[in-house]
Amino acid sequence: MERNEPLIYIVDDDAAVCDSLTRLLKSVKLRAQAYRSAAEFLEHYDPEQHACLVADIRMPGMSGLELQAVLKRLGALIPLIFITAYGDVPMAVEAMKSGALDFIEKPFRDQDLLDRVNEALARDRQRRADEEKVDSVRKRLATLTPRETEVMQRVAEGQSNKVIAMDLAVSQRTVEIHRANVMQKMSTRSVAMLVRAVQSVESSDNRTDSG
Amino acid sequence: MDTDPIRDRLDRLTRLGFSALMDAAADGIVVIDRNGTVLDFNSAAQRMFGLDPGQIVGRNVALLMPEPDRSRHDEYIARYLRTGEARIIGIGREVTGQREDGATFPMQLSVGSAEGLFIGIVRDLSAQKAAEEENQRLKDRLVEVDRLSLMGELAAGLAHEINQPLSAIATYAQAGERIVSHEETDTEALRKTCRDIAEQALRAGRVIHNLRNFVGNRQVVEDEVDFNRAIQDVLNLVEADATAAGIAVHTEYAPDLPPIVGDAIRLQQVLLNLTRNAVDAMRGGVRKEEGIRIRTQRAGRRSVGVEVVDRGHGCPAELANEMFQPFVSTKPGGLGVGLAVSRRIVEAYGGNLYYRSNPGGGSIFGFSLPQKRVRGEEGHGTE
Repeated sequence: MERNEPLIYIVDDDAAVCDSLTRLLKSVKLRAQAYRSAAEFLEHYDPEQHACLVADIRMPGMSGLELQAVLKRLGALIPLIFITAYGDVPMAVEAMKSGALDFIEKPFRDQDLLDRVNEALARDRQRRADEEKVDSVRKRLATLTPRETEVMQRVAEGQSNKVIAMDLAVSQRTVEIHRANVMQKMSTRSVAMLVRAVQSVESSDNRTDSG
Repeated sequence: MDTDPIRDRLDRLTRLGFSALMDAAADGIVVIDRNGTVLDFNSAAQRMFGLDPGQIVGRNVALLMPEPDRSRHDEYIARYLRTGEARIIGIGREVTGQREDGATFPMQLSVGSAEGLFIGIVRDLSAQKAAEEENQRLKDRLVEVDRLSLMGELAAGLAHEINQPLSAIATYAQAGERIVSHEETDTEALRKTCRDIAEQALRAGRVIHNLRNFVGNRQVVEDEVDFNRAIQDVLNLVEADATAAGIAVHTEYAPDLPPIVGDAIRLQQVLLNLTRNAVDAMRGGVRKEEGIRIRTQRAGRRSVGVEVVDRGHGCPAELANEMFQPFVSTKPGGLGVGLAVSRRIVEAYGGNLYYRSNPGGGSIFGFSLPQKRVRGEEGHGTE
């Protein structure tokens, strides 16, 4: 799928910087898409695309920092690398505090940039893989019946079958059947695996809430 | 004695009164006869020339002046007595005096004549001259400081402006190296990359060239200047300044503008000054994203103009006239010489620098200059 092929978005108001960066990335067989303004980039940005963003901090119109703020508001988690001129270091530090992956001063060594780009792409890939895993857990959770969900929560909390049976006023045998169904539907072989799966969904929910 | 005691007393009183006046006067007073011989020399004059009456009374007044006046002074008196044509008498002028130690100093001299005597009144202008020179020096220095601070502010923007092509050059070269190391080198891609490197190096050179023109004092130049071209040439400096503040610069060039006579660099300095003001006015403003507009146009039948339109905080009405005066500024820390110097430059080339408020909010600063007259037109003779 093309969306799984890595793409590097470049945003810089300078045509030559855009062009040379695109050519450098192409020389190492990386796909790049350059835009001359933050607004133009936002028009074409695809959140589903496996990608990272290389942006200039200083630009007329929307600056790099403003672009970073907009992406954050949109909930976009694309890894961001800033390329900056010499005098922009204080701004770059601010950008780092706001979650930018790194900043590189212009002019830069190609290897420095390529290392950061590869790191950014690796992070994006990892995040997408994590999200996929969480999604599959969510889908499995959705297949549980209400009673199975109750049993699963108690198992994950470490309660014994006996305690669960008393709590829910059913026989231990019934709890055992529900429990077996949960483990099968969730595709987990141990309580530990089940706990991890439930936790991954919870922490993903927390991230979305606070972000 | 057979002299009249009353007349004698009156004479004495007059003499006493005259000598009291002489000594009380703040200006130097020198009385000479028609041969140039000094008859009287008051205390102010003694201080001024560093001479006692004993050293000068009875000698020629020419001792108080340097050459060439010293040798010619007798001739000056003779000519006046012969022709009655006054060069100084009743007029006064600035001349040079010479002290006892040989040092010369500027002085204001006025001379009256009566009864075959000449009375010279001299005022030492050294202190006044020195103050004037100091004043001028300070003003020059302030203008210089303003120019330097302009340079300083531009330096940050320029670092960015030079960094862009440098960055592109480095990246193109590194891409080129990778293209070569591929198994099948794409020679066309390599050729294009080399061309782009050269292009960017030239671009950096142009930035530096334009900057260099702003450093160093300029002689008066009267060249034929293409207004649009002059503005295009300075645009990267303007943009360096504006981009640093996150403000875009939009240009509108009127086509087929006739050339003007002037100094492109000076006019670019004025334009840069106006755009820098515009950037300052818009910095941190809410309408920053609308940017600055620079537009050239015909101004009247025989003039060419440029306007810098901003959407900044505008100018308080009470300052609209004053702001072209030196040392009037609305900017914190501003010296207030930019507009004054700009106006002086524009007026030196027969033009006009003006301000009006932008109806949509903000300011419009502009200047117009007379277009170059073509041979055969009325009032010809520019060349």
